[in-house]
Amino acid sequence: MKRLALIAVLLALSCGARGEISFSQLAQITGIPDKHGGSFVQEKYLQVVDASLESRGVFDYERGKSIRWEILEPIQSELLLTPAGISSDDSGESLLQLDASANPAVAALGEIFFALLTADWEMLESHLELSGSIDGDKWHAVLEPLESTTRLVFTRVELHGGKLIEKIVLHESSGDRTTIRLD
Amino acid sequence: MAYRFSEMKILPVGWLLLVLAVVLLAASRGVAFDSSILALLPESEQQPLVQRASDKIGAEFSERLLIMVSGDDEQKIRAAVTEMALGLEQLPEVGQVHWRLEDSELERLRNELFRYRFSVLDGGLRQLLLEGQQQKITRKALLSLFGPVSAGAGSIVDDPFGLYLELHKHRGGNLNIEITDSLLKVGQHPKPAYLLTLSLDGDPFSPALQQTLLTEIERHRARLDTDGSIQMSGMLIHAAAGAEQAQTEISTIGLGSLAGITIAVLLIFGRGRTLPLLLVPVAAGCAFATATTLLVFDRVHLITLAFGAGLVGVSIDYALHFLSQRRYSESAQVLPKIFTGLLLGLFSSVMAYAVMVLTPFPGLRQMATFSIAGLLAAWLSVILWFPGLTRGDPVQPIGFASTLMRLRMRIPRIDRNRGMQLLLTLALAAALISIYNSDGRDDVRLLQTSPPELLQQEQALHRALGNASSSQYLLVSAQSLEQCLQKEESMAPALERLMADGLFEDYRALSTSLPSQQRQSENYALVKQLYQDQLQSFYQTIKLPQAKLEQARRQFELAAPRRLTVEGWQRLASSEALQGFLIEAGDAGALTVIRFTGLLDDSAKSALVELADSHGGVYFVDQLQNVSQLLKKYRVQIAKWLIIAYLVVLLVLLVRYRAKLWRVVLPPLMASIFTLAILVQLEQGINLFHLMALILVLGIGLDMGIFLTETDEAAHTWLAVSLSTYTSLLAFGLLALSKTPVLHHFGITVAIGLSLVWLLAASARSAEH
Repeated sequence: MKRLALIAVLLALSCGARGEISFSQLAQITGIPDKHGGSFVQEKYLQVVDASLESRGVFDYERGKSIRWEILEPIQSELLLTPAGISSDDSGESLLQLDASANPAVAALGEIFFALLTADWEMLESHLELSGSIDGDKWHAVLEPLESTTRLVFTRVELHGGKLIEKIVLHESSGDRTTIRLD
Repeated sequence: MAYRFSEMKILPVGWLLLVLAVVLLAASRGVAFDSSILALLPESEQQPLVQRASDKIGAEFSERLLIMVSGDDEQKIRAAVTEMALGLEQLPEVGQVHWRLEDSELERLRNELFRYRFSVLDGGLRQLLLEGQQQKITRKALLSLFGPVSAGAGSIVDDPFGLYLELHKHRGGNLNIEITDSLLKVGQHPKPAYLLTLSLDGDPFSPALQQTLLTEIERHRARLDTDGSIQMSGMLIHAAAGAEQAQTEISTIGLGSLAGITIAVLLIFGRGRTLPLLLVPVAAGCAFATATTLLVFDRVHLITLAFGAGLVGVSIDYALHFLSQRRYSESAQVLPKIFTGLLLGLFSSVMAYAVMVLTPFPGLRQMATFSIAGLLAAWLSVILWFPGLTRGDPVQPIGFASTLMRLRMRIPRIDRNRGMQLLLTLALAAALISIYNSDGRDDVRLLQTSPPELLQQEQALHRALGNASSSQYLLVSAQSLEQCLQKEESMAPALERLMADGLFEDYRALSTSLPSQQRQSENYALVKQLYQDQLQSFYQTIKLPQAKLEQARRQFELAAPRRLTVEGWQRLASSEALQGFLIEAGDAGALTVIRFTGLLDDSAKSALVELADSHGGVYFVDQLQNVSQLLKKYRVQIAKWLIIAYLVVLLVLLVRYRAKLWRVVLPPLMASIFTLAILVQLEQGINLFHLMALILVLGIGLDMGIFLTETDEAAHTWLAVSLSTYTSLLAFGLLALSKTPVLHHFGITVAIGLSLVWLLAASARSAEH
């Protein structure tokens, strides 16, 4: 056991001064396919009313292109996420457009979310600082925005996963929190 | 006899005292110069409004300096911006440097309008409410709760429908800027680019200020080297470029002509005293003219000063004529010989300017006043002071006079040479046809003095920033600011349509950030309807307890009396960037402007004119076109009045010279026509500045004819008028080499015109000495 700990420390040292894990390690451990789909459960905690709102649905994505995010409960809606923004074709027109010039920090969040689901580690590395730990084939990562302006929107993202990402927790600066479980 | 005035001591002394008194009086009132081209516009009902708007917008341009640093390497550029800002902040000439926005400020900026979320609404959202599409708004709010990315949404109690988020999303500032790590990054720029805005603590025209600031900026440019580039916009860089150009030209053209004049005067008169003596009436004329203009008009326009300087050429005529004659006569004998000539010379020049006083243009009136005062003063100085100043000088004929006269004899006489008569007639016909078929050229670029590279980089900067044009805008006037805002709001649908038609990229109006009180009440009522119809079911869908719903309702009701007022708006940090849209708001009335981004073409302009015409108190202002029209009006007016003036002069001269009149008039008249025809070919059309220079040519030309005829074409008179031509050619003709358009046009006209006058005068002689 002691030996194992020593190895872990050495591993950590070899991986850089700050974090225990690196983006390249995450890239190695995870094997996220170019196309993938599944179901999700989302829980949004709203601080001001001290309550959580739950929604569920299915998703699938094509790396680098788009994510289809279909909410089934409690409302039905299909969202299409691209690096450029989020649109909903409920009524044939986009409801949510994330225009970088209007609100760059929120747009950055959209980009980061897209990168998270499709495991675009390069993109993440340029915007976020990584810390966390690896335990066998499971890992836990905390990502914090490098950019102070982005920190006004969210403070950190927690990721849990193995071969695939299993859980994403987004901590907003307002105190709200979004937890998404992927299956 | 008039020329005996000088023998009475009192007159020269009195005149000296008068000049000194007027100059001192003007100086005590303070010297003020005006450079706004609009100050030359004829007064009309609309003009004071436009003037005030353009003053305010212009002040923005002259007090600020925009600097954009861009390059490939983001980190390097950021470092450069930081270093540059810190360096510039140290300078006493710099009032403030805006280059970063702290997160706390940004947070404040983001939240400062939150109080007014129910009465200040996003335009698109308001439209949905008006169309009764509340479902869409509810749906959007639900999606932001159940969708994966929604950060930035407001509180579920304070703003369940996300009204404020919607407003904030579409409420970009005046400029296309994102805040990145507290720095001001230019949005959608091909390379990373960051903005700094300086407010100057001083006059952008001050050479010391230009020097310090530009040296500091150059230091950073040099350090950046190939890693990046710096682009700037502001009055300062134009003023600096203008000063640099003027300096180069003064040191080349100016010194060149000064040297030429000095050498000629020294060689010909052979006396060191002559040169300072020549300058006495010129200096007295300039000082008296400036002082008189200041006293009459309060401030002297810089263009007046530039053209007024032209009268130096005419006023030196009187001095040269006197001094030449002095070499052949005793001091007391000079005036009896030349007084009539000098008087007629003064009369013809003054007439040309006097008619301009009658025109309705303040600019022309000012130039005329300046010129008349200057000519009178120069003339009086010669008449009253020169006899005394040259009392002790010897009578000593000038050798060069006879040499020059012999040269004159070689030129064929016009009345003895059939071939020449035929040639001149044909040339005259061709010239008249060419002038008749020509168009005027009244391009505003005539007044542009900055090098094209400077203008290009400035345009590029404004395009990158999405800066709204400051020279073409809609001016909205009303009894009160509230009415202005309501007017703007009533025009908004039409403006949106024009924008959708692609006539301009975007427009910016005060009412989009400060809606009228009426509009705010409407908005609140619309949101009230939304709350009544949708809040209950919304809360049911998200399954929150009834108590929270009540809380949300209470929040809404609490906000009922809250309105964004002008005073409240003024206190907002975000209003600072929009101050240029509110020209004035007071008891006397209010003025606001609506500005546009993207270039306005003719169809856009005519659509905006039409829109303005359909609303009372709204005007489409196009400064560029105004200036062009102004130049055209001045050109046409000057041409018209010049012709009238010379007809009068002609009549008076006819009385004195009878059959000899043609010898006086033909050279300047034909030279003017030929000059115009040549200019039509060389310069793609005649402009105002050509005509202004032509007055000088005519003035000197008529003086020439008058002096020659009065002295029976004496050799020394020919010398005097030749010297006068030569000095004017050197002083003004060399300006043809200038890179400043105004000076170039002035110079080329003088150069061609005076050369022709001189040649024609030589040919129009009567005597065979």
